[in-house]
Amino acid sequence: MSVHTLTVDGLEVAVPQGASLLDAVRAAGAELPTLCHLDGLTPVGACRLCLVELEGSGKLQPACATAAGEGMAVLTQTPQLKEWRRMAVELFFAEGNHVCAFCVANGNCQLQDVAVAVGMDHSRFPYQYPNRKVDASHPQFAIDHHRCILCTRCVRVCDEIEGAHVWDVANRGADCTIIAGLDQPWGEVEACTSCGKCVDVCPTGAIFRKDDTTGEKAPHRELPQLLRTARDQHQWLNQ
Amino acid sequence: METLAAIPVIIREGGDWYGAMGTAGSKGTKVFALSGAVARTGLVEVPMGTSLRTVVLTIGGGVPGGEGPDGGVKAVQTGGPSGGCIPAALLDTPVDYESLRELGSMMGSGGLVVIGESTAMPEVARHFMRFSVNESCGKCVPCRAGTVQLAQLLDRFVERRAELADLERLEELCRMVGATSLCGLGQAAPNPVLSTLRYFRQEYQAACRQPAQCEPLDACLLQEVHR
Repeated sequence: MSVHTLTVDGLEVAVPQGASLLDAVRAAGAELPTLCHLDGLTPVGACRLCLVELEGSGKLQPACATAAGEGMAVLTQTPQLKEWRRMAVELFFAEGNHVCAFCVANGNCQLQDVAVAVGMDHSRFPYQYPNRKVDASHPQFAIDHHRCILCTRCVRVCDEIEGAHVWDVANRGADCTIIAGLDQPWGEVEACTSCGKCVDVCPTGAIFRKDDTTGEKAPHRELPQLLRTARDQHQWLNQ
Repeated sequence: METLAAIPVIIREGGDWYGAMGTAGSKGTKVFALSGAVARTGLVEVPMGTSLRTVVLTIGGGVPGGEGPDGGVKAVQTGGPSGGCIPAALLDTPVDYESLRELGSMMGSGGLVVIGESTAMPEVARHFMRFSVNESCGKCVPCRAGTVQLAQLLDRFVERRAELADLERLEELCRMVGATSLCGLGQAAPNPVLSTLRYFRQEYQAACRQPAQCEPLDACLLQEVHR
């Protein structure tokens, strides 16, 4: 197997060919905040939190969606990158209605974790308080669009892992919204297998089990990677 | 379309004939969609390297009722919503790719909007920012949410209720959206703000609540060029 050698913040690492810059950063023991990326799903590079600087070119690249190359010199923690990461998290908080105190995902929310990681204690941008919908038409699950950050993990897990393709993104810009089926109530979409994978991968409390109340969401976000490994490499957890 | 229109005449007259027009770096001709505060609007084709003054004043006829050496022109927005504005003091700039880029604008779509002296620049910037808000696809957060915040910040300047901190925030968010957006639309969205800030910073400062605290006006670039 061919190997690429590169440096992450000055530390030399070797990763197999086909690995992403995010894999390389993790191999170097460094941490990068991610929201749209989830191991086991196709990267989309949409949240811009894992942007890293390639030394020399000064260009910013999303670590999740960029292939690691021989001789690359990656910087992950420049003051400028840290500041822009914090601003991106502020933009996420300001564009939705995120109220941790009574959220089902409080304590188990990746948006919350990322805010702590980048040191965001308040948003300098005014909150938009968008008027969004809650769809509780599904017998077991519900989606609260106020908490949605449009990471499209649900869209990808349903399409790529479950193969049902219930979810999609409608409209554009600030009007973007996740829709079920042909913009139908979730409970009326016959393609939905009620597998619950979208609940597990959702980084926030946007998609949740109706059984769960404040702070009770306990998602299995490692599920896509487990299933991917099981299917592609025929390796299961009990082996 | 522009490329297709240029092909028949190049075949008929030859590449050397076409290449003889224009400048060393930008050969041939360029079609502009001349619009805004100008007497004669429409599509104009000029050799590359023609000055903006010729296009706007000689061909376009300047601002209706406009006076002075620059014919009432305050600035020219080139390159469409992702481009930038060029102040009247620089009207003698030749239109070619390099010169426009040096001034923080671009050739882009070939749009050329003439801005008259009665128009406020923060309003111009907001107009173009609202275009970007509408055109953002919504995939990445800097463009989807950042352009919305930028348009709202510009509202404060247009409505003259901004504070000095807003000016700083505006510049920082412009840099962030430009550097971290996923595609060209978001990366270029702050250009109209940045270029109006570059040449008309005093208008943004004047819109702040405490003009006394603003930087002295002689810090402004525009003052260096005598009109």
